[in-house]
Amino acid sequence: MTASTPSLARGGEAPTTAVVPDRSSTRSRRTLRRRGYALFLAFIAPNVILLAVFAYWPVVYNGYLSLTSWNLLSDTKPFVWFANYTDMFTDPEFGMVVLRTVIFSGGIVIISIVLGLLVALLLDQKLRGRNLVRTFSFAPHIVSGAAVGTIWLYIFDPSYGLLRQLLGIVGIASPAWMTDSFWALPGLIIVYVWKTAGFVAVIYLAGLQGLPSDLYEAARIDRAGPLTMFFRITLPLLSPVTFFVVVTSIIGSFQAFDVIAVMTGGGPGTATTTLSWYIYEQAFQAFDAGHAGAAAMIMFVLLVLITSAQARFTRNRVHYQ
Amino acid sequence: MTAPVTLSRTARSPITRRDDSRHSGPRQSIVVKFLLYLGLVVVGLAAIIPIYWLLSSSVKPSGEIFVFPPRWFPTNFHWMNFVEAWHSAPFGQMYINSVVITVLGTVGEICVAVLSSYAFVFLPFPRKNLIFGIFLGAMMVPGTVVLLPNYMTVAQLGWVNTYAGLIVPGWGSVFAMFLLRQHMMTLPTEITEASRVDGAGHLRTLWSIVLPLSKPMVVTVMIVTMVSKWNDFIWPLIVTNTDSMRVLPVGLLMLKSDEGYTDWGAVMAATCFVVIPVLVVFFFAQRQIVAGLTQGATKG
Amino acid sequence: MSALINRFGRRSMLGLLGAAGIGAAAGCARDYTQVGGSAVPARYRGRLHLIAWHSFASTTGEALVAIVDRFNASQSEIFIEPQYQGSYEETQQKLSATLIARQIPDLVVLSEVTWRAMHLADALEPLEGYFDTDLQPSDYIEQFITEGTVKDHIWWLPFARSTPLFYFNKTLFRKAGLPDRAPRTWTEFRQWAPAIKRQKGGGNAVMPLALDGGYSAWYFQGNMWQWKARYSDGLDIRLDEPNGMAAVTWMADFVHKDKAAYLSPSSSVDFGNQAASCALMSTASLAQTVELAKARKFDLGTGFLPEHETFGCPTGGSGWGILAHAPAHRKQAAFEFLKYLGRPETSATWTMATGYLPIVKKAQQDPRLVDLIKKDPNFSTSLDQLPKARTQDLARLVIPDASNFMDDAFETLYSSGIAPTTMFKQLAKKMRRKAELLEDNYRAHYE
Repeated sequence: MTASTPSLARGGEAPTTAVVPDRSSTRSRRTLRRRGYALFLAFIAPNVILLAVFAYWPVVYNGYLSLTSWNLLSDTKPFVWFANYTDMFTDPEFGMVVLRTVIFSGGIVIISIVLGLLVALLLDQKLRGRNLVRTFSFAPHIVSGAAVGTIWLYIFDPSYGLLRQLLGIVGIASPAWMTDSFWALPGLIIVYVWKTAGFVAVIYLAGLQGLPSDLYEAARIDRAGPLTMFFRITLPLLSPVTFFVVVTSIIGSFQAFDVIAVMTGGGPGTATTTLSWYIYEQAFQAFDAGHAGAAAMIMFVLLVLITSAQARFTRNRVHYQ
Repeated sequence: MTAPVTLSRTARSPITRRDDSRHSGPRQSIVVKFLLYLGLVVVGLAAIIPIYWLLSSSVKPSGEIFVFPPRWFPTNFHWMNFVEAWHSAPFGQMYINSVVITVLGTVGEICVAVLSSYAFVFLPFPRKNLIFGIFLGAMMVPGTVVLLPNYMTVAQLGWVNTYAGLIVPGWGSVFAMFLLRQHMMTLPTEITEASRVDGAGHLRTLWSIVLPLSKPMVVTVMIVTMVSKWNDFIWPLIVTNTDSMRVLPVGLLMLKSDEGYTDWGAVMAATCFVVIPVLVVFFFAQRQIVAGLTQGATKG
Repeated sequence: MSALINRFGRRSMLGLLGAAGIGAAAGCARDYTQVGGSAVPARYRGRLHLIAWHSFASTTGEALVAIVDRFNASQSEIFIEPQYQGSYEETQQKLSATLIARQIPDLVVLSEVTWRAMHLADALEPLEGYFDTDLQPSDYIEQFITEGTVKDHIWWLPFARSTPLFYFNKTLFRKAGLPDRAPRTWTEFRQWAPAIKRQKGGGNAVMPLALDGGYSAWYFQGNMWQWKARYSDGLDIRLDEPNGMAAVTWMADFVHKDKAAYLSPSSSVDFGNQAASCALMSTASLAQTVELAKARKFDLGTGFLPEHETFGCPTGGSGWGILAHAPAHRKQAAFEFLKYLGRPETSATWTMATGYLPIVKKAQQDPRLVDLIKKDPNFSTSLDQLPKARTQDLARLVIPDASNFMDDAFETLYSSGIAPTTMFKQLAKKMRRKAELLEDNYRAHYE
C-alpha cells in the first residue's frame, strides 16, 4: 500500500486527472474543451438519468411521503406534517426496531471483520490447501440470500437440524432459534456473518499481500514481537481496506432483507424486525406509506451519518508512508 | 491520504504481488503449524458444510429429512425431489426470466458504467470529481429505501410485471462504474491522446483501446454484476405478479410459503436450481471475481 | 457529500413535489387493465379470458385447478386462468400493489380479514344483483353468507371456509394412558399434560401442544370467547378487560410455567412427526393430516376446541371477490364461475379434496360426502362444530394490518418472557390508536 488512488471516502475531492488537450493541435483549445464538455455530458447522461430517477428521486419522494398519511389505495394523500415522525419517535416499538438494527448491523460488521481478518491472517501463512479454503470461504458470499435462508432454516431446526446435533456433541441443548424471541436475532447474525466473513477475509488477504516488507524488516531489527507488529504496522496500514469493508458491510447489513424474509419474516413477533424489514412491512403489508417513508428517511440519514463519521475517523487515523 | 495519485498509475494487482519476507522470521514450531492447519480445516468446513448440507438434502427422501440425528450422507439418492420441485412451480419459465434479466441487466449496466467511467477518466469537465462524488452518494441509498417510490415510478410508466420494469431500474450503476474508473485511471493517458491525433473519436478510442486494455476488470465487473442480478430478490418480488415473469429466488419463496406441509426435499432441490449455476460460474471464474473486487477495495 | 445531497435536495424539493403531483393526477386518469396472463390453450381460444388470483398451493391448489378445469370444459364462453399468489396476505399485498399500477385480476381469493380491507378501499363489486334462479344467497350456509354482507350488499362469497380444530394423536394418548378423545376443557388438558410429556419422540419429550405463529390471533379468538372475553365490540377495543387478561395469562402459564405448549416453526410438521401430541390447526389441514397420519402410522383424532367457562370457536378461511373496476361483461362472466362453485356437487368435491367446510347447505347431503363421513368420522367434527362457530370480533378483521400485528404479539408472548398482561395492554393501545385512524372510513362503510 505504497500508494492510493482516490478512495470511496474522498472521491469528491480526488485530484483532477483530466486529459490535457493535445498541445500540437491546431484547433483552438477552447473549442476542443467545449467539445470535451459536451461529450462528457453525453457519456454520463444515461447514468445521470437512471440514478436521478431510481436512486435520488426516491429519497426526495420518500421525504414527501413521510409527511403524508396515505394508505396507497386512496386517491388522496393527506398532508400531516411531521405526525409520522413524532408517532414513531414516541412509539417504544420503533425504538426497539432502531436498536435491533444497530445490534444486528453492529454484530454482523464487527464479527465479520474480526473473523475475516483472522481468516485472512491464516490464509496469508504458507499452508498447503489455503487456496481451496480461500475459495470455500468466499463461496457463501455469492449464494442467493433466499437460498441461504432456506438452507439455514433447515440447519437451525430445533428438532431435526444439523446445529442441534453439533451442539449436542458439546453437550449444549439447541435453542429454538427462529421461534425464540431471544435467539432469532443472534441466529440471523450468524447467517449473515457466514455469508460475509469470507468476503471480508479475501479482501483483507489482498490487502495483506500488498503490504511493503521493508517496514517489517525494520521492526524485526528493532526486535518487535509479532503482536506489536500486527497492531503497530499491519492494522494501521490496512485501515483503507478496513474502511472499504466497514462501509460496504454496514450498507449491506442495513438493507439485509432476503434472508430475513425467508427465515423469520421479522418474527417471532417483532424479534427480528429491522429497519429494512420495517420499511417493507409498512409499505407493502400495512400499506402505510407515511410510516414507510419516514422510516426510509431515518435509515437514509443514519447511513449518511455513519458513513461520513467513518470517513472522518478513517481520514484522521489512516497512516500512509 | 496524501499519497500522490501518479504513483498508482503503474498497474499492479495486489493478489499476484507476493511478498513473503514478512514470513521469513524464526521457523514455526510443529505445534504452531498444527494449530494453523487445524484453523484452516475449521474455516474451510464452516464455510462449505452448509452448502454441502443443501446439496445432500436435495437428494434425501422425505423420510430422511425429518429425522434426528440428521443423516450426513444420503443412503440412496432420491432424484425424484428434482422432478417434483421442477413440476411444483413453472421453474422452466423462471429460468428463462432469470437468464433474460441477468443478461440484459448486466449488459445494460456495464454499458452505462463503461461510458460514465470513461467520461470521468478521459474527458474534461469542470469539477467532475465533485460530480463523481454525487454519483457515489447513491451507494448510500439502500434497496429498501427506494422500494416504494420506485414501484410508484414503474407503475406510472406501466412497467409493472414487465421485463422493462425488472431490468431498467438496475441499469443505473455506481459500484461497477467505481471499479471501472479505478482501473481506467491506471491506464497511461498517452494512448488516448495518440489515438485522437489519428482522428479517432472518443467512442472509437473507448472501443478499440480502452476496453481491450480494461478487459480483466470488465470481466470481473460483469461477473459480479451477473451474480448480484441473478440473486436479486426484493425488487423482482415486488414488481412481478405472474409466474410468467417471476424469477428463481422469488419462485423459491413461493414454494416455501405453502403453509405447513412443505416438502423439504423438493424445496432443497429447488434451492439447488438457484444456487448451482452461480456456484459453477464462481468456481470457474473465482480468480477474476476476487482479483477485481480486491483491486477495488485495496486500491480504492 | 452529505451536505451536497442536502443542498440538492432542498433546492429542488418544491419543483419535484410539483412533478409528483402531476404524475399522480395523470395516473388516476388511466383505466384499469387486466393483469398479465399466459397463453390460452388452443381449445379455449376465442373465449373471454378471465384471471383468478388464489392462495392455494400443493394438494389444495391442485383441487382448485381441477375444479377450474371442469368449469372451463363445462361451457363454451369463458376461460378462467388460475394464478397462485402466495398466502392470503401475500395475495392481498399483490392485489393492492397492482391496484396502484392500475391493473386488476377479475376474481380474487380474499380471506376473512383481507376482503374487508379491499371493501374499505372500494375495490370490490357488490354481488347481490348478480344472483338468479340458479343460485340464491339463501343457498349458502347462513353464517358464511352473512359474514360477507355489509349494509345489505354482498361483497364476498364463501369458498374455502374453515374453523380451528383440535387435532390429537390417538396412539400417543393411548400410550400415555389417556382417554380416546380430545380434552373437554383446558383445565383437563392441563391435567393430562404431564402424562404426555413422559412419552418420547425424536429423542425429546413429546410436547402436549404445538402452536403456530401464523394466525395465532385467529386461534386465540376461540380462547377469548371461552373465557367470556372479546377482542372488541365493533371498533371498541375490549381485550384488556379482566376476562381477556385471564385468558391470555392462562395460556402464557401453559406455555412458560407448565411448559406444555410451545411456538413451533410448523405445528403440522411437528404433529406429523409426533414431536407434539396435539395441534390447533384449521379444518383445511384435515385431508393432508389424514394422509400424514397414515404415512407415519399413528391414529389421528379430531375434536372441538377445549372449553373454559363456555365454548368458543371462530370461523375463518376465505372466499371470492370480484374487482369493481373491471368492465361489466367481465364481472358478469366472473360471477358465472362463482355460480359454478356454488353448485352442491362442486362444493362437496372441494370439501372432500381439502377438508374445507361445505359452503352451500345442499352439499351436506351429497352422497359422496355422507359416505366419507361414515368412513372417517374426523370429517364430521368440523361440520358438527360449525353451528357453534361465529364470525370473529370486528377489530381483528377491519383494523388495517391488525391480523398481522396481533399475530406478532402472540408470537412474542409464546416465544419470550414478556408478561401477558403487559403484552395485552400494549396490543390494546396499538389497536385503539389504529382504530381511531380508521373511524371515518369505517363509519362510511359500515354505518
